[in-house]
Amino acid sequence: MFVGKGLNALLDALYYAPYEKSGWQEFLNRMVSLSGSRSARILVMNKDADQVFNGVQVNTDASAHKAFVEHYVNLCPWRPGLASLPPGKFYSSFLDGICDQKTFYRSEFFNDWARGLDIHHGASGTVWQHEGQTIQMFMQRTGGQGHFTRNETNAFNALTPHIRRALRLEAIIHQRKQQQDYLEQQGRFGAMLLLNVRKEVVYASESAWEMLRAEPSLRMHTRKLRLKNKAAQDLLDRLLAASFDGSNVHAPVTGGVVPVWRCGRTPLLMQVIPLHPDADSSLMPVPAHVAIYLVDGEQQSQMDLGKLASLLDLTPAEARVAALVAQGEKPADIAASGNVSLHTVRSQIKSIFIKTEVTSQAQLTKLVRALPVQQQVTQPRVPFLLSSAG
Amino acid sequence: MSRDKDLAEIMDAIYFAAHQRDGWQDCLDRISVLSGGQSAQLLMLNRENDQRLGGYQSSRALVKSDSRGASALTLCDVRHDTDDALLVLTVQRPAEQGEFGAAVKELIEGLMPHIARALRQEEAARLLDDRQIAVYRQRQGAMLLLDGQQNVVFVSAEAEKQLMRAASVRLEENRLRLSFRQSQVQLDALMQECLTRKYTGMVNIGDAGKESMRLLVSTVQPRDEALFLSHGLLAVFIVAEPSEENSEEELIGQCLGLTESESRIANGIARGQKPGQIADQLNLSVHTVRHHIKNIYRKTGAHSQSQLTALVLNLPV
Repeated sequence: MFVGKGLNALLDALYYAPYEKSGWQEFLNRMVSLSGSRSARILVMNKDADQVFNGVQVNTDASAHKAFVEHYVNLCPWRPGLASLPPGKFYSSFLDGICDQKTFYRSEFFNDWARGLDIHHGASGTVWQHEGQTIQMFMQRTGGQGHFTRNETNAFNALTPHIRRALRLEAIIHQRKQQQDYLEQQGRFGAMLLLNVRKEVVYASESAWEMLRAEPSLRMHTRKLRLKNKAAQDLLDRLLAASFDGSNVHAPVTGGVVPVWRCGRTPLLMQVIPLHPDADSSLMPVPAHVAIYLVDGEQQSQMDLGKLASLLDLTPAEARVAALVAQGEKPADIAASGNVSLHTVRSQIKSIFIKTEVTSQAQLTKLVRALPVQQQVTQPRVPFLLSSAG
Repeated sequence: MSRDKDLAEIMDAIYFAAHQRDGWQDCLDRISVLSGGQSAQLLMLNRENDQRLGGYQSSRALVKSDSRGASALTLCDVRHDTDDALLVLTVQRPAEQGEFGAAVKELIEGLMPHIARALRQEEAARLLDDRQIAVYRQRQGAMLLLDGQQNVVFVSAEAEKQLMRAASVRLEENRLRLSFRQSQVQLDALMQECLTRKYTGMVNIGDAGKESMRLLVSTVQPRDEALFLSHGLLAVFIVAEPSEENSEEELIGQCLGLTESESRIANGIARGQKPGQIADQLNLSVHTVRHHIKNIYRKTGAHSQSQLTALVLNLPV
């Protein structure tokens, strides 16, 4: 059933599933068509496999899947058997004595749910158990497609180590992406692009996209960065070419800056940095990616009060006072600028001290400065020194 | 049976190589051992077979045949064509151990499609790695990230410096270890709390007499069973005296990709100094300074001293 080109394509789809949107659907689709089945699903369940957390399915419409997950999952006569049988293997509903066909046809599960969908046979297995989660996979067939034979069940079994491995990859990738998204929100230069050796933009952070949309002097064209100014484009091309030049082993290029001069405004800086891998340089001759940070001189850093409030568990008013104290403002000035009494500010400072467990304004300053609460905001200002520039 | 187990382990090593430190090296070590070799190497070449795209080797590097004479070695070379590259896996051992058998070649040929598949995924994994390196370079305070099992998964450059200096906190096998038992108990409880719900709190870790150091622990993502395999994420900030602030010139150098003396000169120009004055100050000849300025122009794309001034003064430093 799973041989040659079909098997290769199936494994490709399986191992790509963690990296691609709807990759798991693609894998299940191939499983269904290669094995001549009606539909398939993967369920992520709790340890005892009686509660469904999440899942993917193909060839069952959304309402039928919802009904299955919410109501029929524990009525499915194929499932209790699965809990008592060794994991890591598929069992054919027809052959492995999980539930004989007569009992199945009498079951509430068949009469209320499966019959309408023409589901008569199944092959199912626990593919992975991991940290309180049980992941089960189900293949389903119509009456006309017949039951899953011994050979077919064995072919599924041969596949289980691969499925387990891909699920582990899914877990790793999911967690790494989550970390990365968080880190990129923290960074001071949030606008970051990564370019590959073909000079294609393979990644752009959220704020980089925003800048590309808003900035007329640069744009994306067929995945490449295009600058309006020809001299700037030439400099960028030179920097990129040098960064990926493998022949220059002894003097690794450290990158440089492309200023994008904007009429009547401060220049936008593109900081180009090749990301040299740690690997052996004789075997890994060129970096895989170059990072470009977009630094807008018109953006100024400002304290993100919402973030400060949430990190230190302060009220919005307290966060404002804490930020001003950290910037060296005196309570009297804080009171005047906020139109409140000095008394109010003092009591706010006292409350901040208690919440953050500090005893002096100097300690509070130290605390606030240690937190990544700076954000870049665009504040159009009078161009600086422009009259004398160029 | 044990061979089946070895094979399963090698397959794990192949598919997880991209996500582990020295993953490919470990993988080649295993292949080398299983096939009775001494060292192994994996090369990626372009389809025309005339340009090396990359490669990995076992912890013991291949011996070059010309350094000890080709006769001293036996090789097992297996080639595999993919859509856009040619893969060559070589296992090597001293000649006195004899030729590799046909079974070894068959074993490696069986692994090649998996290696090719894993390498193709590696592009996606490398992109994640490089996104991480790129944020590591940004200034973002002394921050660590910990996963749901409280393993440290990210340490910022500033946090690395702080950990080097601090006596009462260190990293041990990817775990945060505090010297004081009491603090460790507090930290563990706080991290548990932060994993169960959105929460934030602080732990004092400094010695009583000395300048205090604190850890601020904050939830990024609580442990959530309902998501597909999400195990929670914590951020830990080290609150202490900042390690030495970067000087203005260092920051100019970092931003513009200039050397130390170039940044000093760029800074001088931005303050309105003439090349002659800068030369006097730095004890250099005016020619050297002019030469540096030319290099600065080349690197920054500025064409005049006034343009350079505008550039430097607009840096976010």
